[in-house]
Amino acid sequence: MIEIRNAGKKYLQGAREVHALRNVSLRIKSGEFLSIMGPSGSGKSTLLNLIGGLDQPTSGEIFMDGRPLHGISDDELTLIRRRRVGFIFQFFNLLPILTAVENVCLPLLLEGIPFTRIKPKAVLLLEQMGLGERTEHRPEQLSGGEMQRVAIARALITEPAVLLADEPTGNLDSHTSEEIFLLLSNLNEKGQTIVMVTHDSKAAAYGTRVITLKDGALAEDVSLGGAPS
Amino acid sequence: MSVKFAMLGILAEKNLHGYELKSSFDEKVGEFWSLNYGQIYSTLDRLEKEDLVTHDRQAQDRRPDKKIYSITGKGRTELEEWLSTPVHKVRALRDEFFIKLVFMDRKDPGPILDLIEKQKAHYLKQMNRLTNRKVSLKKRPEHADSLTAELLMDAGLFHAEADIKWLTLCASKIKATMGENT
Amino acid sequence: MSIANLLRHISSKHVRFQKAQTFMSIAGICLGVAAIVSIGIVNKSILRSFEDSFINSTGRAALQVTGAQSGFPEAILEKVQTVPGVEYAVPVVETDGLLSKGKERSMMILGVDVLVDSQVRSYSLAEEDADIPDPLLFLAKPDSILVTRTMADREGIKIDQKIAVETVQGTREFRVRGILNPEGPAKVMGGNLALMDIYAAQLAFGKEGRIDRVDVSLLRGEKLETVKQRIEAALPAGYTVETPIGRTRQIESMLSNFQTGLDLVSFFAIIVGMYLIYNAVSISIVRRRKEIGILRALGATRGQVMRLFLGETLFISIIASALGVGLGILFAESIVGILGKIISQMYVRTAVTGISITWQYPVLGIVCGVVASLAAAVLPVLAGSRISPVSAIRSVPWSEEGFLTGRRLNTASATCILLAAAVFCLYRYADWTPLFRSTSFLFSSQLFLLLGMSLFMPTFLKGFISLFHRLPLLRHNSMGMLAGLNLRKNLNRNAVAVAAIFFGISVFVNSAGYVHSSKESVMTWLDAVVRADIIVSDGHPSSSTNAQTVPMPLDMWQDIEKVPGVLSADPWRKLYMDYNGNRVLLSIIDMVRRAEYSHFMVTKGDEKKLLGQLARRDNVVVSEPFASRFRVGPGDTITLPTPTGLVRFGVSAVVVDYLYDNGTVYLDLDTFQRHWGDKLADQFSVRVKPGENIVQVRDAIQKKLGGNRKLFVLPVQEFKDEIRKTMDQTFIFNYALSVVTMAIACFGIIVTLLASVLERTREIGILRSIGMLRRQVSGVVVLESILMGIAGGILGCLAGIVTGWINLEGAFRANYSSAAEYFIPYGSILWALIMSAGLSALAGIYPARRAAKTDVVEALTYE
Ligand SMILES: Nc1ncnc2c1ncn2[C@@H]1O[C@H](COP(=O)(O)OP(=O)(O)OP(=O)(O)O)[C@@H](O)[C@H]1O
Ligand SMILES: [Mg+2]
Repeated sequence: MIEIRNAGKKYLQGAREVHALRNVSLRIKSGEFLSIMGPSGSGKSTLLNLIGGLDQPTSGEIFMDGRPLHGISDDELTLIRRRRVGFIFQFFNLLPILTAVENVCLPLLLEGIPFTRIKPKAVLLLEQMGLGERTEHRPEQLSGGEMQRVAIARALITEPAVLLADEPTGNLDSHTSEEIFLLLSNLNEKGQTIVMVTHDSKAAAYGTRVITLKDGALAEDVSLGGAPS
Repeated sequence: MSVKFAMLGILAEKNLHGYELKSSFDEKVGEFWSLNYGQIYSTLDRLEKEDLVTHDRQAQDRRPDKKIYSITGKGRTELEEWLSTPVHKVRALRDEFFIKLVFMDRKDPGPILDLIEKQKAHYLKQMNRLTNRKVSLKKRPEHADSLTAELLMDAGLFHAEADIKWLTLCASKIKATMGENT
Repeated sequence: MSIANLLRHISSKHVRFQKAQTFMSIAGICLGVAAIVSIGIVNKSILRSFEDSFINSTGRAALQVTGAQSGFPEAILEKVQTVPGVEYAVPVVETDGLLSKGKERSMMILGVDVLVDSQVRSYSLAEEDADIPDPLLFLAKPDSILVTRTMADREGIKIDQKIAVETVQGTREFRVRGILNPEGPAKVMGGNLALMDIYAAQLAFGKEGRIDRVDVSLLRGEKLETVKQRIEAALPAGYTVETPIGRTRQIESMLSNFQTGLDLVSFFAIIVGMYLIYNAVSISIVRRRKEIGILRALGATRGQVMRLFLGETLFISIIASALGVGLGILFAESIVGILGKIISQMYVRTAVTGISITWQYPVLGIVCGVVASLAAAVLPVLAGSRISPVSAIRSVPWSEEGFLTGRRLNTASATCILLAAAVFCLYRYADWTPLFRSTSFLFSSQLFLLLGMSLFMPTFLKGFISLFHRLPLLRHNSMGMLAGLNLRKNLNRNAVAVAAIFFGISVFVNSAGYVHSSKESVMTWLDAVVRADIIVSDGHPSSSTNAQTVPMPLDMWQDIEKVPGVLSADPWRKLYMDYNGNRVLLSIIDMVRRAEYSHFMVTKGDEKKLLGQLARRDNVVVSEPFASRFRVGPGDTITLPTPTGLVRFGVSAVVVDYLYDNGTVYLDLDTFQRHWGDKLADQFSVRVKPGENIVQVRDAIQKKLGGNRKLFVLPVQEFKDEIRKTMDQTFIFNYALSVVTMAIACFGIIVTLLASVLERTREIGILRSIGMLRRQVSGVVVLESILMGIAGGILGCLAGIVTGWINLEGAFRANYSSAAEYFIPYGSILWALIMSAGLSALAGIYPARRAAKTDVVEALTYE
């Protein structure tokens, strides 16, 4: 469902060119749970951002469901991001001024759907995340794991084609991390395509496939046994 | 050494005969540790000699009597003492993969780096299997002793992760030092 | 739709969590709008009061015939009456009167032909005189008078009571025959009106045989325009036939320079408000950068981000503008009286009693507030919408400069300043289109200059701080060092706050310089022209118009000369008249006698031949504004309307004269009497015999002549002082507006400092943890504030001097067509500097207290 062909990304740092990504080609199938690993600065986030349409490649092509993500206008890209992609970040990136349920509703609020119409769905999602009691809390009143679960609910509310997570547990302890991974693994089992950047091979072990980046290039591509039985 | 205490631990919960003891052992720690009946019985003999275990005979129809093993008072004391003492011995550094490293080609890091990657992939796959087991275990929480089983699997995962980390470090250090030689 | 969602769920919370910022933004825009609305409403109300009085006092009359101010022969009335289409043509004598005693003594006296006037106007008499006075009885007795209910109630006047009124013959008593209900004409002049028989009024006010106005009503079915043309054709040149509305237009054009000036200055306030909004929006964008990144990552388009922030600005600006309109109306109510008084003194008598609010000014205020806010927000919002979601989420440090690099700003600054110079040159030297000569055009040159200097502010502030760091006193002082570093950290943002102060101060210094210089010019001229020792006048010297004056008989000079100690006395008569559709001043002096001790300041023409040309001849001297407005000079002729028809006068010279900014024509007394037949005087210039005590002579004149009339007898020094005071009063609004502008600028400082204090929370926490005192923390903030204030003050003074000079060169020249020397207002500059430092210190207090309150532990865990 996602196809990357010879994608490259250059940044200009002053006069110096930084190749964050070089010539990466990759195909992600629907239902896959792909982990991206690699040392710091190897271009993992850059790749994820390209997949999610947060950024555009400086060379090469990216397609989602056959439609190009490269060379399209910012607005078109934004709409794809809004409707087809769910993001989960390391630092949760919830809006501190909004309550949990409002944060979850945000992507649909951007669509212009009235809050009252979205709220039941958001509450349901939060309940599924085990946060039924916490819907009206603001992020500062939540623990890290809870915040991340709110973020997952937010990513899921649009029923995205692909869920992207950038070190989703980088800020959480092992136990809390495990709960998050179990959630993701459950979602994947139900058919959700997931792409996750991680430094943690325990996390990668939940997935179906692991790729490793080195210096912006694809170094390894390991297919793991398969979904849990 | 730990086999002895594992068996004492199992008998401390319940009196069992040899066969039951083996299946209980498999269920609890079988993931990492497999013993055959011979090993079970020889350990039991040794424990009896040390007065840590004793047995009763139970008559059976048309079959030889079953020996039902139970823990003695002395056995219980020694088990408790063992349980409360931290483990001093660290995991063995003697590792088959390490031996391969010792004999690697100092001129050309290529083959060993390849090997490292293969090894990592292997570990990853192993971790994936463990994880899958754990996940399915999680789905049947009513299963007896799922907690200890899970913890054991976690231990396995953490060790494998450590190995992967170590291998990654090996690769980057090898590349850093040997890369500049060539 | 989606924006409504975002506004409701996100913005509303920001507003709630950032009360202080929101409040400051609202307060700033609110004040700016209030300034515009109040000045607008007051200006309009004054015009409305003219319109009202014209309409009320004309009743059913559709047209008014007016001529030279001192009235025209009654024969004109007959000419009008015979014009076809005219139903009634009724004569009116309209003059200013004074009650000898009373709370508000000034009033308007209307002399009408009681028998026919009721055909045109309807008078409603109060009920207590059910036996309506017989008009014949009323006519028969020349001491009869009717007063309005308003006046009667205020002054406690009863029917049949006698009241004392100042007349040309001195104080006279009149018997109140009835009280007018406040309807129709009785509403004129805020009810300060008395009605007399026309004949009695002519006698009492020295207008025998002459009338001031003819009010005309039309026969049914007649067209206004046709009848108007017929009347115009029937009358000699020099008469004006106008509708009441048309007369309002005349007044409007007469006041336009003054009113536009105030209007424009009121816009300065909203411009300073724009600096405030610019900063407030930039600050909230910087602070919410991560939020923008998240929204963008979740699929908010650039457009949505822009609309979100513009929507917030819109929301705030609408609230602020609405409040501003309310505040403006309150302001207007409290200043309308003062402005009315100033206009009465300077231009034409008015009695505004209250404000009349039409929809225009509230709407204009809201539009200005909203448009200015949105315009100010556009740049920062555009920058905000360009924030890349990736870098915002990665928390890449925000580079403040971005597009607005120092180099670019300086280039833009230079461009603006050049533009300002170009516009000024066009205004000054090119007059091929009226656009180039309009006040607004000149105003734009000042705006460009101020904008240009504002753009230069970051560079200036940087230089200013390094200079400040060199001061040995502060070099080794930790607080001084920190303050300087902090200011440099968010240079552009701080520069905007400084620019707001700069703007405010420049407006103040601009006004001060303009006022100071024009005052100096006028006073220099007065010193040159007014050489007498004592001035005897019928009204307060400040009233350069006819308001509140009752002229004296011309012959009074003889009486004055009989007073012991008086060397000579000669009269001055002033009249306003229409000349080519403009109101100009006719200033009449006895050339021969005046020449003995006083001279014109001649700019064109031969001064030596002047006396011979003027005395008893049909020659005049014109003021510079007159000469330039009507393009005449020595050797040209002008045709003036006189009661006896058009007369051609030769122009002998052009002189400096600040009596009236529309233009003055000087005429010899003898010539004047020949053509106008007027025997009145408004002022006598008295010289005292050498060695006599001026004060004693003054007292003697007062005693001898002031017995039966109200006289102002002032030693010349006092007279000049009064004029100086009046001029100060004229500019009171300019000062008030600069204060409002400064207040808005202070809000700007508060917003900026508050933001930097909040951003520095962690830093403050660290400083506190290693032992900085609360007092030191707040000291740093106040110091920053003062530094910003002083930086803005210094540059503001500079800009104020330049814009003041532009104003003087431009506006003063436009008004008086003569160059006035620019005097740097050192006193005001000192005040401006003290004010900028003081006010900014005050503005710093609140942020400083917030900073001092920072909780160390919380601050250190602050992300
Ligand atoms: N906006 C940017 N401007 C300049 N360079 C950038 C930018 N974003 C990324 N880079 C560079 O690109 C390279 C790859 O960055 P990226 O964030 O993808 O690494 P990563 O693999 O996610 O690292 P980490 O594991 O530390 O998150 C790095 O060298 C980084 O410095
Ligand atoms: Mg990363």
